[in-house]
Amino acid sequence: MSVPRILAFARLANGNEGPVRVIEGQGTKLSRTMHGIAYDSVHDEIIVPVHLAGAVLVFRAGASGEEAPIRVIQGPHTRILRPETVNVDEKNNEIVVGEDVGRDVLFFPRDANGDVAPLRMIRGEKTGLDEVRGVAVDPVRNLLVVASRSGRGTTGVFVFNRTDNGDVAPRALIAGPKSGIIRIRQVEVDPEQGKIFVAVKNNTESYKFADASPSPWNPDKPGFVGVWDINDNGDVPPRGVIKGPASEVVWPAGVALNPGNREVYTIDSVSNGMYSYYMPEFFPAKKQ
Amino acid sequence: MNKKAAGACVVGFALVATLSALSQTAPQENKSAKPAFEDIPPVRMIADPYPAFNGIAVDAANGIVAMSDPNRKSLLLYDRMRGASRGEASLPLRQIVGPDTFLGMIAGIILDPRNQEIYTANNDIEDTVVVMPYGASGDVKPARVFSVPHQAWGLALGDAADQIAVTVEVQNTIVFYRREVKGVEAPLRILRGADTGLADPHGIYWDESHNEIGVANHGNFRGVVKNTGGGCSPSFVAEDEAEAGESRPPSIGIFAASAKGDAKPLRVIQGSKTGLDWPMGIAYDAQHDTIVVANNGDSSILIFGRNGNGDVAPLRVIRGDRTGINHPMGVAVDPQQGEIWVSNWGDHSALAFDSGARGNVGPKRIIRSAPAGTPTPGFGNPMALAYDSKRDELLVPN
Repeated sequence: MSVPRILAFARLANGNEGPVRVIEGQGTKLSRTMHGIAYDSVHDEIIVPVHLAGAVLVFRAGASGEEAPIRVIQGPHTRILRPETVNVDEKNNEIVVGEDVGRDVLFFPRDANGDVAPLRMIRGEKTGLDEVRGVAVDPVRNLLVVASRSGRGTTGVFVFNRTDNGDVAPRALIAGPKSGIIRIRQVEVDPEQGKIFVAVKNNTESYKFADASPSPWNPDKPGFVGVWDINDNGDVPPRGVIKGPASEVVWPAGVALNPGNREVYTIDSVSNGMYSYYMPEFFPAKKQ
Repeated sequence: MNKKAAGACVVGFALVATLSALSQTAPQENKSAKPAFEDIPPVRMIADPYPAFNGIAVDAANGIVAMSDPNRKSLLLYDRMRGASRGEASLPLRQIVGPDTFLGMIAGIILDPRNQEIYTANNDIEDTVVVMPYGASGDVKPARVFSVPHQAWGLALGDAADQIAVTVEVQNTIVFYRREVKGVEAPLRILRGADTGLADPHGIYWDESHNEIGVANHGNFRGVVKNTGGGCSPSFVAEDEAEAGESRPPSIGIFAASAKGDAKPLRVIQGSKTGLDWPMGIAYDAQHDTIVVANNGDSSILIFGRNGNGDVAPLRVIRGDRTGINHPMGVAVDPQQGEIWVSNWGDHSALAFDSGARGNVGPKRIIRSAPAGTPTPGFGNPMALAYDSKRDELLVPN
């Protein structure tokens, strides 16, 4: 909700440190409510959703200052309404867009630019999707993992076939009291380990005019970063958790992975803090 | 301990732990410290333990300047005549902070000198405007709280009309309530529609002398016909033919103060000559009959003639390394002192300039929420991140 910009921090930054560079300014076309971001390591690009302008922007990964995006996906043919989150499928060369208002997942060619139609779209009653908060692709198993929050349906992790199209039911759904999922945000997949990492925010929120509004100081169920197996299905507890006062996590909204350094990152919207965890349990050493 | 108290304790513990850790020597990377499987301390953290200024308001009659702080979720009131001359953090007269305050991701702030009340907009999550009495300090309950649409940003008070105006980003709307609104109450009127030109509105002022309101638009637009809300909660069934998004140029729209519905603005300042670049806070300076704009994108203050219309250049610009302006979010005018106040998001400071200032000039006074030179991470309710493996960097969109 602050200045709509992209901040880049050195991985080893620690304490009260500023970003090493910032992408910001009118020329960037950024807006607030960028609830997703993806880094394309193959093409060295950053992808972000622009919720308030119904667009997806692609920047040079090294962009800084008021640098314009190199590609913009926007317009009536895109079918984009309110892009909430994005990810990139480097293997299949696709950008994946999740929407809250659209209640859908859209797939675009990675190099799409302008008012282009999506390649595929998962949308409809059978999907069970409502407010899509996170998307990730497992290219090894050809799966799409979707975090969806719903006030009237199911909040959880929905797993589809990567090439599903139209009004299709998920092949698996991780949800229920044992899962601990109440509110959900960004997801990531470690395809090598076959694990799903989820920012289970579990925050109290209300966006309905007539509801009593909650205070940000009073979360009755603190969130966590949960790890599930890619083959999990049903009301399954997480196989690994980062949670509790020492973790500093209250309402974790984002999750990112660095298997090379065996680290997990999260960002918390209550403390306005970013936290790094060394987690060899989640990234076992490769056998020689 | 009830749920609310328990939850507050959890948040309080986390914030205290963060502040405690940051106030000591930055923790070294320790890959062996793991007291429990679930409850694992981070090996590194980035957080700002100091208040970060967003909105700013000044009350000349009572001698105070007040700022909203979405970082530590607080309101700070300072003596408007006391600056931090040696780079030290300024001591506020009062700080309002804590679980009972209802303060969260706050943005705009206004002061009501006549009724001695502080208004601030909870922009995200809470979707309320919190009203505090001037004398509030510490962890106190608000005098009033009223519900507003999601993504409320700017506030303006109309004394004669006895109304409060609230801009709403996602809905491209200005909603007007009676000043004493409390709880859930329907607005008196709404300014919204294609002809208004409202597009991601932010700052707003109410010019009593000319019976006008002015609003700063970022230009992000996804339509109004079927855009009944969204942002975080869908309120309609999406249809294929729904409007597409647009990235319009930024603008300042000036409306009749009584405007409602799909009213056209009286004047619009928009175009390449304007230099507008993420205009945030906005204020009317009656002494100079000008509109003062916090131009966040290029760290400047733009001053336009009130009657400016179309693609016009600002009459004056305050910008440069001597100014100390660093990604400004708010502006306020002190007519008594003849000053413009600027709140910086970029470096924990607020600056007072002569209201006739132009060019690369230094401020008359500086108020700091942290010692000079303190880094500013700049998080504001962040929701996502990614790892850039090539640069070994973490990327965070706000």
